Amino acid sequence: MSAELLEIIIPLDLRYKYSAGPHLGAFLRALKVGKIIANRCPGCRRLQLPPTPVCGRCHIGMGQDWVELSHQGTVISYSFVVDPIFDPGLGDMRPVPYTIAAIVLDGGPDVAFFHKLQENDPSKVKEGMRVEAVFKPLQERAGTIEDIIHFRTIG
Amino acid sequence: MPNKKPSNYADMFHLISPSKPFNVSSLDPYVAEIRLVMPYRYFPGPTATRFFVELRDNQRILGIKCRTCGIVYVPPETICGRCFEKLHEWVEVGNQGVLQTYTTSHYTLPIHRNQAPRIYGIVKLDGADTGFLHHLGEVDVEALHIGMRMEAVFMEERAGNVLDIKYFRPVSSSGSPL
Amino acid sequence: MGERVAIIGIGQTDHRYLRSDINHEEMIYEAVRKALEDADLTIRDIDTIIIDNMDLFEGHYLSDAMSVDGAGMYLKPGLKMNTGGTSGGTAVVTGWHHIASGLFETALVIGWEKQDAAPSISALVTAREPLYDRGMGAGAVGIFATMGLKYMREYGCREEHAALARVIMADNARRNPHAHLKLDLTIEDVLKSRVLVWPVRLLHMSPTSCGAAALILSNENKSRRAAKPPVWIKDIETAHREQSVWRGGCVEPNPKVTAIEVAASKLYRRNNITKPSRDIDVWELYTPSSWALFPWMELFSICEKGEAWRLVEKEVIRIEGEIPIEPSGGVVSTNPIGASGLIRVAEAALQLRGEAGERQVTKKAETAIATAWGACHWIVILYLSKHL
Repeated sequence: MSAELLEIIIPLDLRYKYSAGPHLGAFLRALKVGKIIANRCPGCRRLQLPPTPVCGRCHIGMGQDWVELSHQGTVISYSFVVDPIFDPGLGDMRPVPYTIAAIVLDGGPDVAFFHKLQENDPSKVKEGMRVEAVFKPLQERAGTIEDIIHFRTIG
Repeated sequence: MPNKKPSNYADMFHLISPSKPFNVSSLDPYVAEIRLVMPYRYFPGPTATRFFVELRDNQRILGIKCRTCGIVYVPPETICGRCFEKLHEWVEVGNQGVLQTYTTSHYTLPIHRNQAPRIYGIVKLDGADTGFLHHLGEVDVEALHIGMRMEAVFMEERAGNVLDIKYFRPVSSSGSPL
Repeated sequence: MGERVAIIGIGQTDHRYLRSDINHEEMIYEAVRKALEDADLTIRDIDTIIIDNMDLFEGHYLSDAMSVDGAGMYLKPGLKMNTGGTSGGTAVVTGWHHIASGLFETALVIGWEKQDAAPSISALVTAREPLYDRGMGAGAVGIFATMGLKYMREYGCREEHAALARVIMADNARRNPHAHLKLDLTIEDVLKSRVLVWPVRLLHMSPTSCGAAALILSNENKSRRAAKPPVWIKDIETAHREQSVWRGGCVEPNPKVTAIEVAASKLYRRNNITKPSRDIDVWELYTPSSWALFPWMELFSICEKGEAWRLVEKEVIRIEGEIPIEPSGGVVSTNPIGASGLIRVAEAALQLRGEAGERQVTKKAETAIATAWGACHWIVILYLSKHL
């Protein structure tokens, strides 16, 4: 029996086609034109962000009640990401540090928008602080979540 | 501009971008490309390692025998599924065997080493109880038949994996390569 | 309620960071053989096999197909499960269903993971929605960071308390021959370790481990004639939550209900558990991060809201304490993810048998709760008892 033990490198590089569906598709297309939209359940009146076809609680169709949310909101929780990880979507290490936050946008109570904060200094981030979405210039937007660069502090 | 219909595998890899500007009332679909890249490593363990090292260093194919049921597995298993026993007994099976079946593949994907048409065969090496799936080479497809004697041809440069065997080719009736 | 089910065989590997010396099949075989020997059975006595694993962590799609021989599944019925961190628990529940239904008499339940294959946190990223979630998330760590921040703010708990929780787990793990991380830690060591996502530090999080665990379950008839005293799975309960952190989980702006509370209260009510800290002797809670311990102790009603950190401060959760939690050293010491949920059940069962060696709890152990938790806030709870 050989003392050598093999280690075999098997990298995986797969491409998928992902159908977002009309509701998530509408959300992403709205980002492209600078709008943040949610939809409202006809049953429980809760907002869904991003929009969905079915309300998870009532299990009924969401219908066509679309609501446009403000670009401004309040931070309710946050995480400072310091340790880099290998990002399978990029095929590379994800640049750090970055801060992600749950933001309740004006007009949309009970739902949170998850995105990055411009502010990376932990001493300057706190719950309740007011932030505003910063969009890419119109010609650079592609209808993805990255059409918003981050949320900057406004108060 | 209508969405392109994928006519082949290559098309599927392209982003199908949103074709219309935002319009709440027109809920048409949005399709994106997602990429998944993961660097994996696999430790095959001592049994598989021995098999691959023999291919790489000695151009020799080994089998492993179950002490309980007597089955000789090529390539070697680590555990005999039938008996639920660990396998330890290595046996020489030589580099020649009998062609059990074969087929030709007519399409090529990026993962394939060779272009189509590719011929695959299952060869039962002398002394083995299982078949060994591999490429067939130096063959005239018309002349191939089940029961033909085949022998392994090794790569010049070997890395310690199953492709260290280049292919199996027919052995002439005198025992030497055609 | 169906057939009664008990655990009659327990086996696990010694969990480590790297197992370059064997492949996954040999690792599974090790755990299964130990469980069979423990129950004094052969693979022929097993009617069905449930196996769980996170395929993407090893890059094997259909990881069960790659493990047939080693798991003993050759020509046997069985199922493969993959439900995230809950997998080990879900696998036991599935085995339980198979026997409770009366259709099978003896089930082998296997959980395994070989996390030396790839950075697991990267594979975990793919659990999140691809178009609006994946690019932001920091894996499971971010969830615990938010949990920790919130808890500290609301109740005055300090970093030192989470550090103490980690030290207690390390002390427990050093008494567990199977544990992966057997560290000798002080509170300072924990507070000095590298920040991942504040306030979660490296030492607050579970490691990536390679390991397998196996249990043998059987019905009442077979269990009463088993080689060792059976540990009865008296009841189980599971609950799920929404699929994305956007829609729910612990960072919902106004969380009204959590999966843990729903599942735990149902289970307690059904089994007349009115004071969990008194009625349950051992808690093998699936706690992937020291920061999760406090809110979860409260959600399981071990104590009132805001009190968990004080209990930990008093060290009542130690092996010698009145409310021993994770005497095995817990997930934070050993985490081969597919096996972790199963290891909780295995460890709780060993406690009830009195076979936990140096990590055996001091108090009399007759009842136990073992849980498994998954990254979308799903919970699986198993209630074990020495007596029916």
